[in-house]
Amino acid sequence: MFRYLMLAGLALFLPGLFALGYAVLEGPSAWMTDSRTFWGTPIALFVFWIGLAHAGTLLSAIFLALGIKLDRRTALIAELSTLVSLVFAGIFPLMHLGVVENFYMVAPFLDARGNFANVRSPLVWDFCCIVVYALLSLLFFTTHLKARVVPALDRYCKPMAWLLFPLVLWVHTVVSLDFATTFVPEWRGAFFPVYFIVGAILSGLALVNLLICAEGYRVRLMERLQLITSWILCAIWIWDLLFKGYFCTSAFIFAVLLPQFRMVAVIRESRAGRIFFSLSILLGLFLERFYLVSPLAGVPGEPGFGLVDLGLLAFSLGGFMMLFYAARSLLNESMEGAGTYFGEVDGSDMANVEESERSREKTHGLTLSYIQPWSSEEYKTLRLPLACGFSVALLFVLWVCAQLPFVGSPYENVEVILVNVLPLSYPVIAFVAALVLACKAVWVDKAVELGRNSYVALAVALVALAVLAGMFYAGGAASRPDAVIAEAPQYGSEIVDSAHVQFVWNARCAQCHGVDGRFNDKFIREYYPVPQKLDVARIDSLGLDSLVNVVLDGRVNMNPYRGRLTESEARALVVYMRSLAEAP
Amino acid sequence: MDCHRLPLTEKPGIETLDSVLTSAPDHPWSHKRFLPEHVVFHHGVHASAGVACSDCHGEGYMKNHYGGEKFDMQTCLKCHRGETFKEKGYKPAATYCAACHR
Amino acid sequence: MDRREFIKSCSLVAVMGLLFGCRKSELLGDIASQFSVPELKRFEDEVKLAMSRAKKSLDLVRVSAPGPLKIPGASPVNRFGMAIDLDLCDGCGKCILACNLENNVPLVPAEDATRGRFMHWVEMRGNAPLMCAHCGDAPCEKVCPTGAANHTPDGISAMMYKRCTGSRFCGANCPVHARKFNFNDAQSLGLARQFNKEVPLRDKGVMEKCSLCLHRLQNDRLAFKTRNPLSEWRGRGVKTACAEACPKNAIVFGNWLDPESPLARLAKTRILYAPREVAALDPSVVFVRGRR
Repeated sequence: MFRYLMLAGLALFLPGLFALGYAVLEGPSAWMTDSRTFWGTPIALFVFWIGLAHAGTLLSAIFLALGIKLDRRTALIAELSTLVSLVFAGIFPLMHLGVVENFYMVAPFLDARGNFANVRSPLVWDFCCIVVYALLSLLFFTTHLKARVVPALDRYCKPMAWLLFPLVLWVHTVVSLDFATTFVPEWRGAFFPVYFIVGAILSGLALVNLLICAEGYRVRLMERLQLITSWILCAIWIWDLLFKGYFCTSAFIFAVLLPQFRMVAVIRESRAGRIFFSLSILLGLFLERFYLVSPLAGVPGEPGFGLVDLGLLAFSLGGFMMLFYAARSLLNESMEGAGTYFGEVDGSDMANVEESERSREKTHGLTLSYIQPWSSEEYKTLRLPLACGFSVALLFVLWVCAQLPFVGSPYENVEVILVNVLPLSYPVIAFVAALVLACKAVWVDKAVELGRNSYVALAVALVALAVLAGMFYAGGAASRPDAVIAEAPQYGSEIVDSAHVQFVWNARCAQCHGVDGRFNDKFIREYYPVPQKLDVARIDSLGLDSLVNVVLDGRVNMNPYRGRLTESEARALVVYMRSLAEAP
Repeated sequence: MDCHRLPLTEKPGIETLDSVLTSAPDHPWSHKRFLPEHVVFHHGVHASAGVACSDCHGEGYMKNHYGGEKFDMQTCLKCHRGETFKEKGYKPAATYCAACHR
Repeated sequence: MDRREFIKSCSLVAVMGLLFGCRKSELLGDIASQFSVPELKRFEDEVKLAMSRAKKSLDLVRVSAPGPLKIPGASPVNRFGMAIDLDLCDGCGKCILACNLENNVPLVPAEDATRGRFMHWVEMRGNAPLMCAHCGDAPCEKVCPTGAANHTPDGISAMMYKRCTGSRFCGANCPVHARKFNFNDAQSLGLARQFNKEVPLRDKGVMEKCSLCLHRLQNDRLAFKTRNPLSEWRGRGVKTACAEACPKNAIVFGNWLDPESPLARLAKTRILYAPREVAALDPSVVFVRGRR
């Protein structure tokens, strides 16, 4: 089953990869871009995938943090789907750029290259949040996976879940700010963060439900959650309709109306029915993002959804299926056989599982009571890392505020207030805290032994990071050196303007022919036989071409000027000479 | 010299000079600016602000070594911020992007 | 490494090369330099086409004369701007062509032209030229992630092409859609021509827009500062290409903060308007109509 899904993914992925290659090569004109917002399919896909990416962490981390029991298998599937979705959520904003090579300029990386990214822009917040989120999700997933083999790691899962909990909401709030801070009428609204978070939860739930359907079991709690979230989303859409008169009917039908059939028992109980709800919600939410990003889509005269757009969609869908099921089959052992709480493969061993889990928790000293903030185990574990994170974030904010407006920097006239830097604060806190927590787990508490291979991998990663940081710091040359060499303007530029002709005449011809075109009699008589007078009639009888040849090749006492004047200059000189002769 | 076909003097060197001149191109020297198109640099402004040639070009040009200096934006910015040549008392200059870029 | 793995890694490298290599390959660059430049006639025709497809409506509201900028480090003596006299302007479109030739604005391919996706920095709207308003409180600059769109102390919303990464966020956030995106590599398609050596041609994938003929101001400033290192430069005598080309002198360029500037004198006797969308953003380029 998984192998077939993986192959189906590959079949979608390969043509999609072709489309991606073409799109990167061709640039933004390859896909559908809205003529008003300049954004198109990649951004719609980005918002879609980042929404899906939130589901995993949301389900496993928030459920774990809040003490809602979810079996490890569902949690791991959700987390894996997060990681794989993040890969695609990362690709699309990059390929969307007009100048892909310059993406590093978005990172607020010290004042490298004498410059600082514009931290007022939501895109900078976005970039940082997503990078941190991806790293932390990976760490969380690894910890969760390893915890099965190394039970000592179990006590780090919950603290990490607490770190991720706000980060999930933070990331999607920042993604919504990409839209909400602009002047595009359809994108404005203070409710956007909530709207995006709800949309993300709904699409994420649909994805996880779909994935566990493929595994062959179901989790009733998540199906109910999915239904409830669709009502919340519906409420937000109605709000949007009342305030802006904007309503996306197709998204409403697919994401809200059709899933209500879950209330019909016959459909709910069949696997096909459950797959249908999830697919319908995913389709509805994709449409919703698509129309949100390109408000003019479907308007006559606007570009339509083309082959490349379809290819990009196929690329992400196929890529997701391929990567997910490849990783799934690799991790098969860690996933199978874990306790199933809500999973109803057969549903008979619920009591046993609960009992065994309870006894396991007793042996590890974890209590399953309500959350006691200041005396809880998680707080004690997180105290030091959080303190480190807060202090680093404080230092960062203070540094940016002291530097900006950078006195004497290219941006000395950029006004940055605290509010502009705050969106970066929590990602910094979470990143530093997670780093400290990981170091603490490995080197202080010795919860996990790092093998020799892990140390090598760590060293390689650190070196790679350092090299990357150095490259970012140095920045690239603006363009290829040989392309930027501009030669000083030479004679012979194609367009010869009148000022230039006059200059050439005065410099080269006037010694003999006179500034006004009448001969410099005194000078000529001294050295040369007097040439014939060039009046209008004579110039016209000789013709333009023959006179140009005289200028270039010389005649009698006239010197050849070929190589010193271009043909167009010579032509312009003859015309100028005629205009001088015409003058009274 | 462009226009004289008859020798102007009786001196023997004139023939060599004439023959060289007739075959000489308009610009016997070629001047290459290794300055990207999007950068504006005006020597005059710097000279009139009192910046000496050697501050940027070193002493090489005095020994007839031209070219080869490598400048980047950091070099420019440091001086414009007033960080280099503190002892010479150069005033900080414009550092906004469009002062030097187009 | 066995043969299968070798082939696999080779194909991976090939795909990566396909994805990232081609954009900057030497081969493409060489071909590009051999393309011919388009004729002037094509630029004229494109302006005519763009004018025939111009949007009809221009919603104007009254604004007061722009004062000093409210950004840190702003110049207290210079704020450049323009006024377009709607009583004189007859919408002939000569400013568009003049601007295109001055700033080397490229042509667009036929399919873009049919969709109205021109690169012109000045476009006709409601029978009057409309360009970037150089808002003092520019929304485009706020969202630019790299800081490629930024303000000069003397009131120009400038664009640093080499710093632009083409996220197009600024274009989405411009209320009058004055920003144009280089969808095509105009140079290799033979659609760009460098009429004016002072202005660099833009690469594919960057945003561009009216620069208030920044190069003219730069040149004037440098020349002025060379001659008078100690006195204050006010940009007197500089004109934008569109202002120069206007047969009715309906476009007035100047310094809002310089009482001797034609712009400041004009503002004393006339009523100032700005497009409704940008009126609240402290625009430097305004319209004038009627006397007060």
